[in-house]
Amino acid sequence: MTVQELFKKIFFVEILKGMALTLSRLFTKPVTRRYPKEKRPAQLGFRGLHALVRNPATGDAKCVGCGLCAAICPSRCIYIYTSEGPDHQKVVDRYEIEVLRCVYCAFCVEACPFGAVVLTPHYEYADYSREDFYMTKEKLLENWDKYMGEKGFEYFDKFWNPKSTHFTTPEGQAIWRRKSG
Amino acid sequence: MEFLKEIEEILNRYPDRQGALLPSLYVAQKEYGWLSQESYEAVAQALNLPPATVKGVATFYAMYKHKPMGRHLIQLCTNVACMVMGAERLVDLLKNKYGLEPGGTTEDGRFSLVIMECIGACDKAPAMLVDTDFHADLNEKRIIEILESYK
Amino acid sequence: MIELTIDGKKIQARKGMTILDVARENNIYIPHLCWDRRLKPYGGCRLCLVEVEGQRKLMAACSTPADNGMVVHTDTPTLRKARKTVLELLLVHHPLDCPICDKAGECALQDLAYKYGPSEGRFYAERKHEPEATSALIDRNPNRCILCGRCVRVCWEHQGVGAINLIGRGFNTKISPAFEETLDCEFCGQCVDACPVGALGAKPYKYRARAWFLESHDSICPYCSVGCTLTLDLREGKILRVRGVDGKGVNQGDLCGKGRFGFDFIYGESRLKTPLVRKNGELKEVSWEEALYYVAERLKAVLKDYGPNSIGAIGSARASLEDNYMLQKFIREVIGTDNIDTSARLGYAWALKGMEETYGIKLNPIKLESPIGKEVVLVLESDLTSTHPIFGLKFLEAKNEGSHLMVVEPRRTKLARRSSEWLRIKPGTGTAYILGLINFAIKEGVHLKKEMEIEGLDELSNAVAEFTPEKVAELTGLDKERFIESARRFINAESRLIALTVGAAENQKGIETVKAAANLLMLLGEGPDALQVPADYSNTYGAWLMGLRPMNGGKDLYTMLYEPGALKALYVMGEDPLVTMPDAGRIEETFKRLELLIVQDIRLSETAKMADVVLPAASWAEKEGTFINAQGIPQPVPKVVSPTGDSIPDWQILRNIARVMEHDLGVIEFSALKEEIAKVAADSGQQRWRLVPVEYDLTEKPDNEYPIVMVTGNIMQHSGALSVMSKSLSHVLSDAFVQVSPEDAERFGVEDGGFIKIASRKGEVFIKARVSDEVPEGMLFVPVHFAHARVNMLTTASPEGRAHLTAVRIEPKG
Repeated sequence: MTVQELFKKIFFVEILKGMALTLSRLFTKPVTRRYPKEKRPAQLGFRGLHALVRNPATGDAKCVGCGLCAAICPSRCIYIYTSEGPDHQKVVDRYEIEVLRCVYCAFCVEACPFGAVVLTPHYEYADYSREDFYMTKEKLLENWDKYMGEKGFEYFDKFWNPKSTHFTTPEGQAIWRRKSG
Repeated sequence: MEFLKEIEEILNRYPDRQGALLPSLYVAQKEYGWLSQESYEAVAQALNLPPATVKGVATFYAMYKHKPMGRHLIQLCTNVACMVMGAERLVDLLKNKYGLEPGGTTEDGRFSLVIMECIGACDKAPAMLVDTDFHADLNEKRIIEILESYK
Repeated sequence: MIELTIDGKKIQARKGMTILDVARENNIYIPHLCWDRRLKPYGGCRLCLVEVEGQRKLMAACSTPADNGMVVHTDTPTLRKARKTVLELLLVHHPLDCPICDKAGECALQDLAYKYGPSEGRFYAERKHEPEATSALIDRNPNRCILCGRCVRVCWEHQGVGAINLIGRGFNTKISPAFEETLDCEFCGQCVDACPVGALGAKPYKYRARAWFLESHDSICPYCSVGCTLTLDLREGKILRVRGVDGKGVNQGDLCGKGRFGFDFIYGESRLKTPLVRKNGELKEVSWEEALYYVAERLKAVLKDYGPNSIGAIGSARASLEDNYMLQKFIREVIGTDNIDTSARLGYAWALKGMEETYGIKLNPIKLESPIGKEVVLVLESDLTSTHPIFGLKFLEAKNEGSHLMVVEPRRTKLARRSSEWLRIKPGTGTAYILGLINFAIKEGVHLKKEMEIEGLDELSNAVAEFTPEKVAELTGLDKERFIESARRFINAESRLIALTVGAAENQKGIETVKAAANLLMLLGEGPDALQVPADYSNTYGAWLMGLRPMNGGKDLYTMLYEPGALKALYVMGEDPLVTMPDAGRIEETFKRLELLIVQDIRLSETAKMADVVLPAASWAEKEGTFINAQGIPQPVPKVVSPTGDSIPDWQILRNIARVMEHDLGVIEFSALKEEIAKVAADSGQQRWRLVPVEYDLTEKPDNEYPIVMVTGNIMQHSGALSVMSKSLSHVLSDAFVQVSPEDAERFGVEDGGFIKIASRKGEVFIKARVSDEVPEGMLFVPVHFAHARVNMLTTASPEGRAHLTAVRIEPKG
């Protein structure tokens, strides 16, 4: 043991150093947020609770039931049930997400060719029963009204990347579209 | 349905019934000027073929008519040579004089007009067929003269 | 053999193969859209282009024959560019509605566009055809069509129907029935499987699921005895659709309408969910315990009072091998009687008996490929394309390959329409026609040329002596010259085949028909393979093998059902005698006199409605089992969905009853049952040829009072009573009808679609008439499947196994 070390040991230098930091923090503003009293707003693009985009023209979901979200979903938590409507159109009867199984990868949002499913910035949805986390089509549309609404379109325009139009494989394939005009 | 007898004769010339389809349709058309649903069905039955096969073949060929035609069928060429020599003016003339649209029939059922592709008479353009008669070197005056001879 | 090089690989090939055939055989991928294994090369899609060294142009692999020394390249920059352009052109007017198109995920165009296609198109056009949404089972969307013509060619070349065609020309071409009417065909759905894109789809599957939601299982079709492999597509434990996969199973991917659309009988509304016991005259729902104890008590009581010989059982030609085996084990071991039979007694048993008496063989499995390559193929009064559709297709195929297809048949069946020669005989006179052929063959001395000696020749030639061409012409209504011409062709052919069915639902053929045909073939030196008589239903053959027939002098089906009082208790498993068997009035009387009628079925059948106890059984696809098809091939049927309600497999019900009756059948598990069945030996007998004289006489002759002959049978969309439960098949045909010839309609004042009264010596029924030139004058044709029509009230059964046509008269209702 050197003299220096002995000195430090006798006079609690390390402890004093630590206490000095503590003392200095006494005079600064605290950084801790007092959640849940004080809430931090999540940014657009935060991967929170799921929602189905409501088509303002029809008032119903934009989803056409193509099932690509369910196909890409790594935790297989999306269920879509479609049927033939009265005018022989495709009707999405049920669109369900088991939120508890979701891993919030947002692949579904990327896969959707119509921008019909989103993850909203809403993150406070703890609840007491499992059923409450089984999102039906109605609940998902409600989520859109509650947590997205007008903001939603901004979400896709400004924030969401990559957009489906960005995809090209080296051979230029992935999607096929017509030249505009 | 007089043509059914003729079909029986035609059948002898072909190794199988399906082979006789085009000439059979032709004789059916000859009788009525066009092919009606009844004609298709009669031909189908005579040849032991499904009506869909008969109709499918018939609709492929431009020379079978699928709607009632006038008494005389004008087939006017508007292909390159005829067009250069003024065939399109003749089309307009027919429209003005007889009210005859391409593909249409006059109200009195006298003429039907079909715009056809080249009939190989480019040296004497513009050219047309009325029924089976060939007329070339047409101009506004001549075409009316010719058509007036078909009543 | 020739040798060619494809992509640097030296490959041996047979002469006559196309480049595509060779490539496919060697697992070399060449893209294609319009090519189909079953069809003639078409060369329409231009996607199978390959480069052949020494050729300036690109060659279509599907229609270029492979040649010795050919050097072929299947994937070069030039080809990729060509394919890219072809796809770009195909996509010009293909709507990009993949997100709602049911084909997405299994669409050939989608896959190829992904592999070769450009991501942008330079051209754009839109077709605005109306999708057809009114058709019963097949959904047509002409806008998605790429005009490859596969559906058209499958329908006409392969299926022999020709319901649709490419109507129009150029851009406006669309696939449609002749006059753009609603599709009204036999609804086999082969076009749906053939369509590479989403232009044709199965209506019941429309918008039900995406391709990637489905899991597939292979199973065996529960309908006829061909035993086709069905690929069942399930979502969350429910069968959504059935496909045929090219090259799979005995059917090689072909399916008929029953197999493809008829699977939904398992979801029928009339399915039984709990056991029912009759209390105070009404069937009441009870628990399994109660039902089992009730059955056991009642059976014991009958046993005690009347002895084992008063109990009988009828097995099912559609239940699995295991179920049927268990039934006979139960009847033989627990009850101790030999009174057991199946519906095969009414048809197939007679065919087997006829074969045994002539050829000496006890089993006669058919061979699906048997018609191919025969010089003359004779189909005798059998609508094979309806009763055994995939077997029937082989006859069309044989004809396409050059066989002479002779159809001896009063009805204008599909085979009759597509035959090389259609001999329209009077109903029930097929046997007379064959006897005429025998007489003719003996007169011509054909049998002498073969230098064979078969016992019984003299007796036979005496028996057929009266069947001179004149007599046959009189009996069958054929022209004499025509008969002689056909006889000569048949007798002098290099190779020949006779095919017929002797079905439980049919009444115009019997044991004498089979014996006559066998005699004729023996005389011409043909073995039993030249006589193809398929079993009726999916497991008719299997049930026969399992011993569901009296083997030691027990009562057969005729005694059990048509002799009221012969039995005191009857156990009916998966059969509805009141609907599917002839002389229903008699059967009803027998049932009324029974002390105990136990019915074990998947639905509340007409017979079940009369029962004292009804036990709900799990149906096809709800339990494991095995079917033996008409070729004698055992094929496993897996369990893919869970049983309806409380139903359990038939063999378990029987095992449980035996347990309650304090009897150990020694089988607890399915595997043990299977092991036991594997030990059952099939006795196919020894070939020993004998000519046997055949008598020909109609059991019931038309007279002044009953001037018309009524023929019963199965039709394309329905067979037996099972198919009536299927919603899809009922969309096509749900109402009972009788076919009346236009001549008779005029004579008796019958209107198309109007109700008529049919009266026979047995009784009368009311039924809807369909005036159709499919039947000749003096004949009615009635399908027997529809319970409410009660057609079998009119018919008679023939315990001698003879043709039992019914003479009837008709009059308009009211």
